[in-house]
Amino acid sequence: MSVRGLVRVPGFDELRAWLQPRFGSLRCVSFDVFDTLVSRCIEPPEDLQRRVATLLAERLGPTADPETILRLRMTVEAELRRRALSDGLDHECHFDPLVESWIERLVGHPHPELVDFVHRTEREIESHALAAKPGAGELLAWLRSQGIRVIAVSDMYLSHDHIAGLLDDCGLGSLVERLYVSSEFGLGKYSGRLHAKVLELEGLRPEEVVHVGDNFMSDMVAPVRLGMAGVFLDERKERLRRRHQSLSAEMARLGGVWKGRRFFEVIAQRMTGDPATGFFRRYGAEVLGPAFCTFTLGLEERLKAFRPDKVFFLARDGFIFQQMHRRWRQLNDPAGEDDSTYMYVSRRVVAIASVAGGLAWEQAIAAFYNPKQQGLLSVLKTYGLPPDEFTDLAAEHGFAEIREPIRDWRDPRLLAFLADERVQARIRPRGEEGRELLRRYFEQNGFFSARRVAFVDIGWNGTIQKFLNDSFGQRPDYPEVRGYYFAFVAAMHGDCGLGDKIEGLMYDARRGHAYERTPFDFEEIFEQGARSIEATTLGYREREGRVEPVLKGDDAPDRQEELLSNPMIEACQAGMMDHLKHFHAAVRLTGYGFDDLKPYVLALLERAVAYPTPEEVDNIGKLAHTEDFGHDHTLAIAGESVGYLDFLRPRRLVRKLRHKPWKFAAFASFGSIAPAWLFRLAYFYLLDRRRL
Amino acid sequence: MSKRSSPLLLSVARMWLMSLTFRLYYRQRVPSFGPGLRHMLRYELGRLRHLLDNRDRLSYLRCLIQAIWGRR
Repeated sequence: MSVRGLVRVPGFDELRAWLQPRFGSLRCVSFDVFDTLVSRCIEPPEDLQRRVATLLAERLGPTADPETILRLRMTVEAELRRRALSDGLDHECHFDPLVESWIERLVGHPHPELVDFVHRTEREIESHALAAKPGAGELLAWLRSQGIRVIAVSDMYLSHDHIAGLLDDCGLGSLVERLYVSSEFGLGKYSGRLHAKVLELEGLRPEEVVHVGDNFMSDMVAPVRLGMAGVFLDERKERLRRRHQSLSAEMARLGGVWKGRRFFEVIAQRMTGDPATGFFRRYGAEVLGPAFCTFTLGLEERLKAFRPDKVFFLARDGFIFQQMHRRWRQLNDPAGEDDSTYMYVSRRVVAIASVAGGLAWEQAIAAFYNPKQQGLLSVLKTYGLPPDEFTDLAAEHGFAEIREPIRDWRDPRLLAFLADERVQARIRPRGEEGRELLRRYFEQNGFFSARRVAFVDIGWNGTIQKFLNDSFGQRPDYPEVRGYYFAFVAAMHGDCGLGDKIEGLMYDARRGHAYERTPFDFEEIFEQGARSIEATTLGYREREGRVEPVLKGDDAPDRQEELLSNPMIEACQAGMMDHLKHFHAAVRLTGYGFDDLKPYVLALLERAVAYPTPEEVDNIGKLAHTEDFGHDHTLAIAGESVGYLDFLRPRRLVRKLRHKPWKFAAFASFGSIAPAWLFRLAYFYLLDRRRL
Repeated sequence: MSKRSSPLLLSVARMWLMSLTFRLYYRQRVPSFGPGLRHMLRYELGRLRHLLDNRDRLSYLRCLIQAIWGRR
């Protein structure tokens, strides 16, 4: 719509349609920069100055107060602006004298190093915050291809070079032929004086120029007064987004879930320019990515405090955490050293080593936690013992069929079998051999020569850390080991007697916080999302003086199914790594830590686990989940769905869901959240009464 | 651009509803993902204010009317 140069367009497409018929008389299109060509993923912009002040305070030491530093900056800026007005210029100031004066007042003398730090930090923070708006690059390229001169005019305290650098970072630098910044001239767009200066420097008549911007006064009224055409870019959705984000920033000051919500709004905004394609990549970027990245942030905080000599990421579920840890370090310091080691280890290999002194009943029953356990066969396989060597003794103790499930964990036949010295005499040599290979494998990876070692894994029971501690903890060179797990359920071995040497970051059963329990309600998806694509470690062998892992063969039926799932896992992990890039930038922008983000991430996990969408259930149901602890079968993740009629027969419904790893998936097909919500409530009740 | 809403952004009402099952059953006073009723109200009122407050467009309309009036 246009009346005497007053033009309003709701977006770039409409702008293009308005410009096209005017190419005959038009020589130049001038654009506002901030919120017109580029937009910030975080609001309000003042928070970026607060963040720079915080980083400056961190640099100055623990006594420096960010709020005082920020107030000083604002005081200096106000003085510079007043001085510009008294010099007959507009209310403008330039970043260079602002920073010099600010730092001088802060430390009492000129400090070029700190001035440089502020310049670099402000540039880095703005660069993380800014991105070209969708369609901006294409519009500028199209104008250039039509022979129209493209310039940019900005009311901004940053210098010309600073903004030119930011435009380069956003991929627009080469498309803008000339940039004019108010701080360089002391003249602003709002007064019309900067527009007039630009016309003079460009040698253009007002009617040959169109100026486009999102500020009604500066970008439309002021140019129109000079005889130029002013186009008001009236993107209501974008304006609302900025206002909502400012509101979120206000709410974030209240703490709780609000900080995390604000943080992920920033990430969601950054991700609009980089959308993930395909279900699994999206699931990695939008569901598992937030959880695993938050875990990585918590891990980095703990590693900074613990300062381990070595960080061991345990196969297979520690794989993605190692990738994230490496990338995180790289983003912080591209020249930094990699302190991580990927350890081919499994519950199975440490279990073998743990029976060097014989197999106790407490160890044997670990095999029975799996609902598909096959009795004595599962016990033997869990500890890497060849079943053929034990069938005769098993028969003597009444096991006609060793794959018969054992429901009574104190079955007299089992107790007698384990009490038989002939049985233990066959077990011990196997255990001793496994233990020796395990010791050598860890030794060759520097475990015993380190003073402090961190283990990182998905969880759940800290089995590997416990078995290692049980097997080698008495050695004088056994390092101080801390285990950092995504979730620690403390179900099989309690807290392993390790106290604060073991910690579940997202969920730790010892804390007793019910809100954390969601990962425990669907462990399989977290294991799947975190695992590497290689097969599980069955044991070790010696080759050319070194101990190397022996992985399960690709011909095993469960491995075959796993191989089919691998492309989906890889896509999911690619999505997580996409997320990490944005997550790291958002941490730089907000300065939020693990504890700030965790409440909201728990809400995201609750949504994903207890209230999945039908699309999520369909796709995640395609993954094959394998057991590596003495069982060679796969687990169907999502079962059949339930209908309203099932609620009429609650006992049958409970039976139907009892052995489903993802019980909530059954409620995804309802059009409403209500059935899933009611089931969640019932689930807590049934769980407490051990009926699920 | 895709119109699909991002699973990264949960509505505050949804967060409240999800946290309600925990509140009703466990009744724990521990850090949770419940947004809090008062905070939720404050946030939703803020959003409503933003939806209604369209001062840039109103300014534009005022200028437009003035321009049309001036042309007469």
